Amino acid sequence: MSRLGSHSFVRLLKCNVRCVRICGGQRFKSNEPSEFEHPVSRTIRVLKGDVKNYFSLPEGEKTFRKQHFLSGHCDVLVIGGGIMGSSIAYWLKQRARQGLHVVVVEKDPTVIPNNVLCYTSASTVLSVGGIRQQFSVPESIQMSLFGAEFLRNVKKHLYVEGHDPPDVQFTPTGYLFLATEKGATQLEENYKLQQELGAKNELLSPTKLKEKFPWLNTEDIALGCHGLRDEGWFDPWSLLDGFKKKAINLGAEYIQGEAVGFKFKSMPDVMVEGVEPGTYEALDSLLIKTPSGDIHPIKFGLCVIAAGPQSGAVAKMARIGNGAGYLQFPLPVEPRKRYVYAFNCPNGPGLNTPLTVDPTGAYFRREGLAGSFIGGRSPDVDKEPSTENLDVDHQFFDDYIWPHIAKRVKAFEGLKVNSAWAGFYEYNTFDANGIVGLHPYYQNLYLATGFSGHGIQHGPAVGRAVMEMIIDGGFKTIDLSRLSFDRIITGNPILENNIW
Amino acid sequence: MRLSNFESSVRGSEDNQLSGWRKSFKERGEWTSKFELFSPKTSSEGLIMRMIRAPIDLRPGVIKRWWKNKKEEYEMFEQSYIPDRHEILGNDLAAAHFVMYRGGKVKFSNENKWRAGKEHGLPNQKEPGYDLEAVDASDVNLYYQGLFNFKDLKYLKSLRLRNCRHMDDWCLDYISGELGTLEELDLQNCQNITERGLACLYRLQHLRYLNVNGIPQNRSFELTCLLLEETIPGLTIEGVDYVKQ
Repeated sequence: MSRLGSHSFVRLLKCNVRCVRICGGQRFKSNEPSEFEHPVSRTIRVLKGDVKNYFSLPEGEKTFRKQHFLSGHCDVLVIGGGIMGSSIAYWLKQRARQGLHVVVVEKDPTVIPNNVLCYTSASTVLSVGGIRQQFSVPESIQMSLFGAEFLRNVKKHLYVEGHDPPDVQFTPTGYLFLATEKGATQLEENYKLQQELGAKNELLSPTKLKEKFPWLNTEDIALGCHGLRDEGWFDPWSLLDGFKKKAINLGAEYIQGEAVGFKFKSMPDVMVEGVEPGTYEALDSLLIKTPSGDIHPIKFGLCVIAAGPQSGAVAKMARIGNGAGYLQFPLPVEPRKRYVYAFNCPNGPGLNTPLTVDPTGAYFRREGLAGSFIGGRSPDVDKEPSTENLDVDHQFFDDYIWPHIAKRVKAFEGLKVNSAWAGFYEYNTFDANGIVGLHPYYQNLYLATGFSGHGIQHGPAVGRAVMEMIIDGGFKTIDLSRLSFDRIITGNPILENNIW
Repeated sequence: MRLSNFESSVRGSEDNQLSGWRKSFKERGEWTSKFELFSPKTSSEGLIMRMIRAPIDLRPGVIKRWWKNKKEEYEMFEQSYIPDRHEILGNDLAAAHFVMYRGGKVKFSNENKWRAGKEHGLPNQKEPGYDLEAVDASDVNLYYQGLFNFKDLKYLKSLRLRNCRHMDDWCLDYISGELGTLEELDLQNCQNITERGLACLYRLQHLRYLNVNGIPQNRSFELTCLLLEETIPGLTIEGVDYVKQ
């Protein structure tokens, strides 16, 4: 038997789905025809269905109303309904429309009635919402540029009839990266790469820095890099909501439930490179625990793991990390708690405050106009806080953040912390960069996770990349093949030189 | 397959791209599938495929909106940056040609009068001495893509964008990052601008005059204008009323 490669598998699926669609305007949930149907009566039924659809509700409304009927199977199952999952669902539905049945499974508990999912601990909504092109990995720069272009046209992309277009409230203020003598050469190299790929920023010497930002203490700073275009921050909740509403409007189905396991199907005829013949076991369906406590299986054609910080745990359910051969390598994504503090400093820097990143990793930015700021810092490796809950350690600010930002900005010596919150990074412990692509063992499992704090700005680009992988079989817009799971197996990390 | 064999052949391989162990049968040339006939060789699948997949929606409102989007797309494409134009004419003349073709006016630093109209008599090649000093693109209906034509203008002092509906915060981001020499910026009636875009104008350190008449205002907007006047010495903002009755 020949290998059922991913390309041919998807095409087989699409042919099947096309047949199902031709079988009538309604969507059948099974692939087998029930009884023999006379061709003439079938033609009349199809035409009647099409005429009825012309006058009926748009696709999405119908799906949204079928709240109590959970699909038994689907074409593409996305585990995780945060920015990555919703972006993937949006791009898939926008390209394939009725050609692919997409289901998104999200576990965050419902708080508001009417089945509105309320994301309380998802990383997306707790994010600071920054977007920047100042990376050293070319793929990250390209993804951010794409993200900025998407956000610029978000009102057109995510427009849903009958609702206001989403307003992501982008504040274009730029990022300012500061480097000491040690890091100046690296900063300059990064700057050259960013210019090459189309970003616009400027290198500033300490005198220029002092001129532009008089509140800055440039004592030990050798070089600064200031972003001049497409950098700033926006509202992650609006973007997530926009993606979700548009995906639902185009026909994606959002299910509330927690993934608790996979069902496997032994396929001894399938030959996969690197797997002993006769031992291949494919992923067949996902077991979901619904809010009422029932376990509900969903059979899928393709699965995408976009579960954020819990992706490592979900991958373990699929035997990634506790199997043999390719399956011995676990998905190295785990939650890491990060704190964000909101503080007030009336005589602090004014309007001219980009998101300033200190060489120590401490960052702060202006929030609003009345002297409020937001700041944080990634802890050192040995001081990682526990990830059991989202409680904030206020001592962390006093010990690890305040000394650095007070040194950088004299006025911050007299600041006062108003509030704080914590969120989880979907931290890739291997090299802190995203993992995108097909898993080497499973021919129907895609990964889109591990972005370690940059998920929100790379969301639109990654969604599009996964859509192209699924439908076109390869990357077409941005080539993310370097970010595949392979590098974990071969042990080649792609390290970012400034990551906070 | 023994695990130790597998591990030694995998780790230590330098090339991260699909090296020997990851090349599929197809890529090694050992086997091909008949499904290759259906593979989309290019990513653009054309109008027909998209029409087949989308539900049939022929309501007049939808068709009108589709037509309006198409016209906008065309207009944005028309206004996009053409590298050849800037190579042949130089940055200043290219921007001047762009603006005047669309009904705007320009002023060069060595002359005292505004030039306008399609028959402008400007040179068709790079010529020294033509430094763009002022651009009046009011009522030109400029899009974000159109702004890219204003590139590397070292002497530009004044930019007027009255009644340009499509100017929004992203455009201000571009203007403040690219046109650092601006002294006068007129944004009258640009309805899509908010205080967030206005705040990034702090980058224009030489700005002396800013007109924000007709832009929907609220407390944050007025506060931003106040802070802008503080941050940029010598700036006056017209069109904002700080003292409310």
